[in-house]
Amino acid sequence: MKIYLYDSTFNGLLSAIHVAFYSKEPELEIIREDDYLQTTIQEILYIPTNQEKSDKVAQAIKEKISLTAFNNIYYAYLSEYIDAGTKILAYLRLGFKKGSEIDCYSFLDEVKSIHGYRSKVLLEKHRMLGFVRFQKYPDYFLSIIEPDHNILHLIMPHFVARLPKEKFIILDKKRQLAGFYNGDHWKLMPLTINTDSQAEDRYTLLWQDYFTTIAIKERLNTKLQKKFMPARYWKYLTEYKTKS
Amino acid sequence: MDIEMKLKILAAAAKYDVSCSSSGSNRTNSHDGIGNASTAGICHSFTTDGRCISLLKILLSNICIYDCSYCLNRRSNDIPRAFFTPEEIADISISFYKRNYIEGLFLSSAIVKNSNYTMELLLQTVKLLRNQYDFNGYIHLKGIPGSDEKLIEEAAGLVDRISFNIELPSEKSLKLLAPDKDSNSILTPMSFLDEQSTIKKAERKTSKNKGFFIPGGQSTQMIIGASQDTDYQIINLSEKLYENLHLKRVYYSAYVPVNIDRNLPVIFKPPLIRENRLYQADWLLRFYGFKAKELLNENTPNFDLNFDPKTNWALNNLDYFPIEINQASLKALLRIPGLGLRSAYRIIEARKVHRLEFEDLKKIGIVLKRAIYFLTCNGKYFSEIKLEEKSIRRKLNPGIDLNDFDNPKEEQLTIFQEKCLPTEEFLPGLTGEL
Ligand code: SF4
Repeated sequence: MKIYLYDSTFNGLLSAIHVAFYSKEPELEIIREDDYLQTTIQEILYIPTNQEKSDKVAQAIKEKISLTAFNNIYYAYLSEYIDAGTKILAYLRLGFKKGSEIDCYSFLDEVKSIHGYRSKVLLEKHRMLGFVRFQKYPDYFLSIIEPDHNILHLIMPHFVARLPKEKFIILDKKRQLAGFYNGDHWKLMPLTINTDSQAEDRYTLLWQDYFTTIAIKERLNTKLQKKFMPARYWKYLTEYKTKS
Repeated sequence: MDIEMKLKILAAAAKYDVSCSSSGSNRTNSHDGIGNASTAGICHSFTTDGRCISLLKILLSNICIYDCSYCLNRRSNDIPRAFFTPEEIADISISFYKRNYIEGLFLSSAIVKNSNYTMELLLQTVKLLRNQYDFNGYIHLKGIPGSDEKLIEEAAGLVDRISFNIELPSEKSLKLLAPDKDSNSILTPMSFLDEQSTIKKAERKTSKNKGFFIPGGQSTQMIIGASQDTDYQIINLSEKLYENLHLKRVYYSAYVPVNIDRNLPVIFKPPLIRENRLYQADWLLRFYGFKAKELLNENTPNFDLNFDPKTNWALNNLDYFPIEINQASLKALLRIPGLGLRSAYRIIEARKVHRLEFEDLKKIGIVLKRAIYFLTCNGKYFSEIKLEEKSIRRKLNPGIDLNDFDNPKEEQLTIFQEKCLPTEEFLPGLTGEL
């Protein structure tokens, strides 16, 4: 089994797919270089990112399969599952055979896994629109998140539309990546912050009170609560911070 | 009284109001304002009872001139009372909104002094938020029964949704439990808003008026289990509200026994399963093409809580089955118990390219627990039992009698305390696949 490594960018992945299509390799894996753990038995090939190849692949997918298929593999890529690259390759191989009907084949594993990854990413994106919590600092708002998937840039436009007059930063601590909005436009930049501690103010406390007050004890159902709001997200939720 | 105390009192007083959704409105922000309202509701948190927190749900005041039996805020209850000023509400809403705690405000009130006085205060708060603070987030306003149409119309031009709560589905129960209210004071403003919405929509088309008028429409709530009203009465009323007054949502709220009153039934816990069955039936009315009279009738006016309403219907209409997965129309697929909208669409997509085998159904994620008894795949029936009412009932029976569980007699309480329900199947407000 041969392994292709790429530089973790979407263009890098598409470049690797380009190479894969032209190689005669029947079985190969495509993995982000960060995810790769050295073992001796595998043969590795590092694929450099090549804009031209990447563009060609993107265009071919949109024209010969569909725009939906292109979006699907993009979301699957953002899932960052270790086997996402390999699964995307399999989906595309089938896609070039079946054309625009590819997404009807949800009973085939190649399609089912990509749909599954896409749903997970979109679900988390939607959840994060609600679970982001901003802390107020003198002249900006800050939010820290640690999403499972790489969704920061997907949620930024929502918050820009919501708070057009404020300056804010949303930091994806896991990926050391921050979305900055300066009141006019937004961009992504690498950023490392070590602390988890966040500013507290009167409204933080009011919110905690509100949160406790409105639960109806006769209907207590924490299983259900956790189903909708899995415990891994609680770390940055203001309502779960203990009062100081 | 400080803000912390007021918030505690006025949030606790509002918490039995169930409608949490912030969906159904879609507006983009003017660049200077704060906020937008998105079509798919956003939940910001979930309370320990598993309900979505989308809006800051508070009362302007819990000081009430009325004395409804089922209500915590009734005049005759000796409880702490509080009053928010419009400024306080605006400040909390904006501050919570900016921190992304909430999607907007759900503002209601007990009836202070009289209806118009209360409605005016609510309107003042909404105006402050929209005009002074440029707040573009979601606002759901409770309409006060008996207040002037002028006030209601003005509010409707500012907020996303208005709801008048029906609370009890029959005049008789209203007389008994909410003697100060009558169904006219609730239904009249609802139909007024419906007419106005139609007029405004027509005007927008001819571009005379680009104005905003409750884009999220109207909703209402009914309390379940505080009166003798049957499920049939309830879903019949819901059906009429959807068809004639074009309501966006009807919410059902299991009565939480907060008061003791000789007119109230003695119950030991809120009837949550019944509430859930009503939500399921509501879904069937709105999205699955069912009619209220198909689900229940005068002779069987209440759901058998052991089965969901669609399964109930199917068991009484077995000659409709089995349904062939590879041929059936969308409408027919949706009649299969346990097979919901999402599954039906998946089947229709997949069979465009492939004749579906039984194994394929599992692969595309169709849950077959209930469906298996009601379908065929390429003419083959896969269940090990016959398509016959008694056997299917036996198979799908939940094991304990949910009718008793939901409304236990005193001596049953301890028995049921030890039993756990499969929570998965009982999501309040629900959804999922029916
Ligand atoms: S009018 Fe009735 S239901 Fe409303 S707050 Fe007053 S007592 Fe409660």
